[in-house]
Amino acid sequence: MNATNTLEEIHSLVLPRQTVGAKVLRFMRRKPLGAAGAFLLLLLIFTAIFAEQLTAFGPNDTDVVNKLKAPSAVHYFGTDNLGRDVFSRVVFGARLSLAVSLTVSFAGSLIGGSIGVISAYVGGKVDSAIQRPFDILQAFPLLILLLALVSALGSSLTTVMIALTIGVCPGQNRIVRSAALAAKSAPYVEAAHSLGAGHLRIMLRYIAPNCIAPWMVVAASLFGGVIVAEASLAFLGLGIPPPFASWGRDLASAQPRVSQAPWLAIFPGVAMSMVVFGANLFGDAMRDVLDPRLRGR
Amino acid sequence: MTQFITRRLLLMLPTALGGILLIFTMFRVIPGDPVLMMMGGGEGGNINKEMYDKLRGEMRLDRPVYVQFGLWLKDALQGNLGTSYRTGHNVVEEIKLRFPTTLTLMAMALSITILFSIPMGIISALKQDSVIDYALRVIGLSALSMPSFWLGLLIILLLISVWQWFPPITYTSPWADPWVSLQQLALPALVLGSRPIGVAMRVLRSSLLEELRSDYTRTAYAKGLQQRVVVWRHVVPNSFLPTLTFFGLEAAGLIGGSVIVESLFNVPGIGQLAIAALQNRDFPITQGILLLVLGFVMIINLVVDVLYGVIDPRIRYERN
Repeated sequence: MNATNTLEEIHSLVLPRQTVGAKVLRFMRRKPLGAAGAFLLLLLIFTAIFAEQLTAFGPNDTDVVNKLKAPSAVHYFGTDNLGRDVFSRVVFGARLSLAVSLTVSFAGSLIGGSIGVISAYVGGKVDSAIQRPFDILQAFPLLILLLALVSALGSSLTTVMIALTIGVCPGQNRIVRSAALAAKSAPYVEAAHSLGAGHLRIMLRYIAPNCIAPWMVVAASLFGGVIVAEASLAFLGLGIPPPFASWGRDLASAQPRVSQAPWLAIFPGVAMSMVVFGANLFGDAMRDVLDPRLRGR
Repeated sequence: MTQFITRRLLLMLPTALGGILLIFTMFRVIPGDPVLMMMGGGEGGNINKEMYDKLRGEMRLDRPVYVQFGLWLKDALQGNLGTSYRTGHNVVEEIKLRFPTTLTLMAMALSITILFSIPMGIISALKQDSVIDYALRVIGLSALSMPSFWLGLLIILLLISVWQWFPPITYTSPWADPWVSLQQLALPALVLGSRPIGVAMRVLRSSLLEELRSDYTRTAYAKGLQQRVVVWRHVVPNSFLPTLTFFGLEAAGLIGGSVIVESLFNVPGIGQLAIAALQNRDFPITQGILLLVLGFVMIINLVVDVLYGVIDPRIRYERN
């Protein structure tokens, strides 16, 4: 080794370089349950993307001759009262669940988080004016709020997504706002001020990055919750209407036939519980990794 | 203490008023003509113009919105929330008839939650990283991850196939025969309580773990106290505060969960009334129920706040 080593070379000698693969392996070793959760989520994503390739029947293809058939080699999960293939409906239901939950958790988190940062940064009367409406929204249990919103707006794909987004905003706003309040009084923000940084720059470059960890923890924990919320609305008849296959709606229509055709209730329910369980496992692991207070537990 | 409660009540006032305003406006900005809905006619049908105007006047829809709000609030305070679009029944009477059942259901669910989650949380924290801990955590997370309508369906399915049991068609009112009512509501209450059990157990566990690592716990052990005394006299009381918040939140959430459980088990409570009203866009009933929910949540929040003050004197005297 000669004396003209660059800094990078020294680094690569002293610190083992971590490739993405190594990081994933390390996460799996440290958080086996979290890795199991991630696997379930990947399975959901795979199913949602390749829904057409995985199924032999369309989710809405009816076949009255073969209605209410028990699971078989042709219909893996059996058929429902209209002769629709339950396996196809579960697979396409995964697509709807994933699309809705991903959009809503992300959009709701982004809107709620941005409002939280602005509210904390501006402070004073503006802060109160922004926070009071959120307090009011949070005074209603989530499901009641969602039901009322959907009933008022009428149920369609768009209105359900809007209602869910409104439902998840307040929680994310509250968490990010408190993180932003802490960051706002940090010395580096004062330093940025003295250097002449504008408000927008301070919010985006100095405050927002410090809210990312709690933001991600909440966003991850929202994912499973939104799936259940969407399914609950559908179960109560106020969810996303056909032609979309929804786990919640299928469970509702399975209810009166549960004794003669239990497979109608079992498969969509198992699929949903597995996904939500996976999302919660993954969310827990994320919290452990990202929340420094919990490190080493 | 009186001063503390008064202050809490005053702090709630703006939220309560805002909530009432939200309930009022929510059903006035929506598309569709409520008068037509009340008359049961579709658009363009044969509608008697005179009757239409008369009804519109009765529903005060010809007045400015703020007058409507004032009059509505005045009526509401006098216990008059109008009549159902669908059945023509008095809204307050309908709610009064059904609320005891839902309240019983929620009280049972909360008792079940407390009964299960507290021992589970304590054992799990004391035996951290043992097999028992892992098992309890998986049970807790499963309870949390299983949507109540799915768990309820599974239980019904199991009971039907094993004991030929079907959910009762009619339920006994808690006023008529409390004992029978309790038995009938046991299963719905268990389903309703499953999620809160998971949540509360996890919160209690992590809060206990934090306390178990604190200085005062080490001191307590160092001065030779037995584990039993350390845990019950020092650690558990201190870790109750964060758990209490969650019990409050979950208790308020139970009224949302009861909508699902009541429709699943056919329980004639507020939730069932709500779902019928929402599906039929029966807004007077919906408004009445939302007001009830708002009041209920506010009372729970107040109770939790007061309990905080009772448990922790620091909170009672803060910013006096």
